Amino acid sequence: MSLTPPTVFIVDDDASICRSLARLVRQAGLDGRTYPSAEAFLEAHPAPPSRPACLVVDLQMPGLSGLELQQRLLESHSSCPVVFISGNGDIPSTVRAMRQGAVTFLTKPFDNDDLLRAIGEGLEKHRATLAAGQQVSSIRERMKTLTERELEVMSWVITGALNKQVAAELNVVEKTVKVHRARVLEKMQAQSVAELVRLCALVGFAAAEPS
Amino acid sequence: MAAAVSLSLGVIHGMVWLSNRKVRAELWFAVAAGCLTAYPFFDLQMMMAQTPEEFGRAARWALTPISLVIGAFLMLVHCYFGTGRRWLLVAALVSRGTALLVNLLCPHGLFFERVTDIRKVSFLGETVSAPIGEMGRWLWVEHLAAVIWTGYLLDASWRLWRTGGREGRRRVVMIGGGIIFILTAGLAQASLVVAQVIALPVAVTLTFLILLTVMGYELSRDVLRAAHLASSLKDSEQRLELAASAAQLAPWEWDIQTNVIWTTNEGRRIYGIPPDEVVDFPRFISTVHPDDREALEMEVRATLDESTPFAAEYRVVLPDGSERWIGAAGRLERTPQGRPLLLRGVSMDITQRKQSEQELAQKRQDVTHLSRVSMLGELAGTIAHELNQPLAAILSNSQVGHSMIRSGKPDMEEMAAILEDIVADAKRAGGIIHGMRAMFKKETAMQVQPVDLNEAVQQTCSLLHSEIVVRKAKVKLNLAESLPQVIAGRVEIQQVLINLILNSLDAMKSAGAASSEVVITTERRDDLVIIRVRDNGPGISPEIQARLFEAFATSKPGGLGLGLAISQGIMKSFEGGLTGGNHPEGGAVFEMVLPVPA
Repeated sequence: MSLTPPTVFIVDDDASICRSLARLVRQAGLDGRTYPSAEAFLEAHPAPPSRPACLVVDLQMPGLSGLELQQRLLESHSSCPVVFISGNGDIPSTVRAMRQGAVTFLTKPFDNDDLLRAIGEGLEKHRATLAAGQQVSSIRERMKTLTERELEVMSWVITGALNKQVAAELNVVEKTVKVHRARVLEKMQAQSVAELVRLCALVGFAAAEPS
Repeated sequence: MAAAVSLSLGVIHGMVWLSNRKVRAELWFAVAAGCLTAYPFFDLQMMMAQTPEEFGRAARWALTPISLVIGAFLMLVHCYFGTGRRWLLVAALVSRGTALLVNLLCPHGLFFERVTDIRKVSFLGETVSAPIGEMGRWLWVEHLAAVIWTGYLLDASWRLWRTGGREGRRRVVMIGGGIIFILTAGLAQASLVVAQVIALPVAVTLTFLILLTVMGYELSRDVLRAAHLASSLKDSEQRLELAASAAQLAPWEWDIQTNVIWTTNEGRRIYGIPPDEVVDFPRFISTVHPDDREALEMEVRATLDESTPFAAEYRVVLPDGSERWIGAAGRLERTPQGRPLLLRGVSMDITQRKQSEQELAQKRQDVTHLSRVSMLGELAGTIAHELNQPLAAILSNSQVGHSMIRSGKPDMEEMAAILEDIVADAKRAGGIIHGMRAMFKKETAMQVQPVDLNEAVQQTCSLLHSEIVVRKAKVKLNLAESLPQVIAGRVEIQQVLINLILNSLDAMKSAGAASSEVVITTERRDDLVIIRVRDNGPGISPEIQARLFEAFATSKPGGLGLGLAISQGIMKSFEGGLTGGNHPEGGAVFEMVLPVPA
């Protein structure tokens, strides 16, 4: 983890709200950045953030609304969490925001602690997502070092099959399977078959189907 | 005897003229009769002449009164007919004067070069003198003059005959015909005597006397008619007064030169002035309500300066302190020199009408207010949002400030910035509430004041800001750089604007327009200030178009159809208007029009 504080993106067409929220976020030791519209934010950050961040968005804005911004982020596979703030939250908007995975929905005027709590929750979630994302990519990296045969053996091993059974399935001698299995565990940095199964599940690597 | 008749006729008509100087004809008739008084003496002298010299002298002098009589007749016709050509009159008078001058320069007058003898002829049983002599060399001057004045008389008579109607034609026959006939006959007789074709005395007194009697009769008819008119005028005055008091009308007359105001008893009653008090202008103004005096005095001044018809409505405070509305109208008369002479008119007690007008205005005000409140009710959500923005910022800023202080080492510069933001936001919230309260407040009467329309447009748009954002619309302002203020109710103008903008937003929403845009333009066109609200929606449908401003005509589901009817009523109450239609390039366009105050 780097030492730079997590970023909070504040998107609101009201300049005064932006300034007050930036102060609040800075006081909480976070990096606050403000944008007057959803378009301005998307232009500044076309790619999903790679470091822990949280978005605080006004529901109603000229141009793209808060909900539309959330939609765009989902489409671009951004995992950045969204906290909605609104002066006039109607139930349909709230429901849609939550269904699209919003952290929470605060009605203006709100208590600073409520917002900071929501931001904290969002950052925690993002951190976890990012961490999960990092683990997956490291597993994928490790999988790339496996040969065709080793991948084939791994798909059998994670079914829980014995070396003998795998050898029969692959028409090789049991000893060969034993060597492959040791190499797979080593390359995948797994201590046990159980851990291998978990790693494979994380990246969605499918087990072989017994014929 | 003839002289006595002439003199008395002359005196009578002279007095008639003195009593009424406008009747110039009477003056000239008196002059003619007066001159004719002198003539019989010369006539008698001629008839009694014993020597040719005596006769010549008498004949010479006799033409002087005759000329004056003819001149007076011409003037009489000029005044009485009023139709003769002026240049012809001048020519006739000049030629007549020339003939007289020539006559006086000849020793025996212009009829005779020289009277050679006298002969005695029998006339009406008397033996009188008739002249024998050579015809005058200058007689043609007399004849020329006769042709010119006859021409003038014929012309004036002919013109009156054609245009004068029955009364005019009678005048022509009696006066014009009489004068022409008698003068021509007299001249012809004189000429024939002179030419010795007939042997008669030159006595024309008798013929003149006949003419004078006829004309005297004619002019007396006028005098009699005037007397008759005077008596019927009195009758009709009484009838008028009766009618006026029955209709509760109070006629009045202000003699501006003497500053005395006359009015009827009804007039004194409605102004609360005792019957015997003399009223002048300041006394009249003292009865008027202090608040209405300035406007009334301005109206009077405009009438005196520019002769505009006088019309005013004002309150009068009666001695018992009660108030009464008076409507007054009048007209100014000026002296021929153009100075104000008389302001004449009527006043009327219009208290009842004013009361019902005020009640009606009050009801209209109530409806306007009600529709405004219900419109604002629909906007309550977005207006709350508008109010929540500054409140949220204030709350957040003050909490940050608070914890900064609690931390023990506050950044003073940041603290100052926080407090500045809090002040600005509090003011902003206050402004919204102030504007809302003005819109919700129910005034007993419209608060009419100078209004900057650009400012009204901007305030309305900021009030609607959230509504516009929620509806995903755009409002573009196109405001004129220098716009004169108009006299109107600010709140009501904003109400009309809100109504038009919401209509546009609704229309565009129902049409599902991809990019809803409302363009608000302000501009000055001649003496008008215009606010134009244009949208890019579907426009106004033909079936609604014709009934656009009627109450209960609506295209909106759930709409009452009162908005535009009330909006138009509002604009009309400020002497402006509201029109609406479709823009040639699509969408609807509405124009609020207000006059630039003078």
